[in-house]
Amino acid sequence: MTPGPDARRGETWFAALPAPARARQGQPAGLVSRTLAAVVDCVVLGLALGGLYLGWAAVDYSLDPVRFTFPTPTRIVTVAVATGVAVLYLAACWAATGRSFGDQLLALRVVDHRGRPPGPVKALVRAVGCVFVPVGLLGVLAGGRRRSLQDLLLRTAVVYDWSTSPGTSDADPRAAGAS
Amino acid sequence: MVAAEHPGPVAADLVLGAGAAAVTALHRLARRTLAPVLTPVLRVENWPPPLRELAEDGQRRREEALAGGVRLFRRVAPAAVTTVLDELDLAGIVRGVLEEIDLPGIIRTSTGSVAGESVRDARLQAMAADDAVARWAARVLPARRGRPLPAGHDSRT
Repeated sequence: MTPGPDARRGETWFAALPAPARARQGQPAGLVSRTLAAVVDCVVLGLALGGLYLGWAAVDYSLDPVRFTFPTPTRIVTVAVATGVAVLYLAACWAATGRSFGDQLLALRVVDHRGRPPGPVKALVRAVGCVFVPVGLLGVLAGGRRRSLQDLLLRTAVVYDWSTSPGTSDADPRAAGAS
Repeated sequence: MVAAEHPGPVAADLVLGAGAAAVTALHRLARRTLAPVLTPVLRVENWPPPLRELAEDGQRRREEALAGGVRLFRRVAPAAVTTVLDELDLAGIVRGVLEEIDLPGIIRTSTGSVAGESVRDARLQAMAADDAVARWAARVLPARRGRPLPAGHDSRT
């Protein structure tokens, strides 16, 4: 069971937080934090894709060192692989702990309407939505609950969460649209 | 913690005080009486020529002995240091010191705290920027005019 916002007020880590962080723990995050987290995730994905490319080159070299040249994938292959890796990365992170590396760095967590990390299917659909319709993030500006287009469709939310525990959140269920 | 009371002087302190006063008086007396006599005597230019030649010979021997000592030191020291270093288990000493002071732990803690501070500042600045953007959106977007910000957020306009 996910502890509610008040359940952690007395815990040591919560008391050690700066006052603004304590006040906003579990509240919906804004556009800047979420954009920065997305930028960090893009960097992580770039590094991962670079690693994949080098791994591919290493395999090629080990198979035929004499005629080795660096692989030159077509544009469509590059886009397809990058998209697939991005979707899988985001879906796996959100389903497992509710936070990607960028979310972790910016103290954010994706939660469903119960304040828990979204299930695998919801996380996958959300990842597809975020990768293919990134402009949906601008929906954060349109309402007081700071929900992107993907959040509105899937009843999810991105909340401030400074806790380090995996898979739990202090999210206010109202932040994710629960009534 | 209460400070201990300062103890008063004892009989031995009287002896010490009297001795110090006597030494001071003797020193002053010596400076006043012996200095006028000894100063001209110790000046080399006042010595007779045989004594001066003897002194110059002594000076030459002293400088030669010093130079010889320096040469000997330069010849012996590298070999001695090399021998000592060969005998020392420097790697073992360094390993022991590192284990004793837990340097990796200190580095981990210090870099972790620095990184933690930076991340915390970045998060707080991002939160403040979130609020600023939300306030701007509330002012610019007609649909949001009059709607409050989420609880816990700065509501300044």
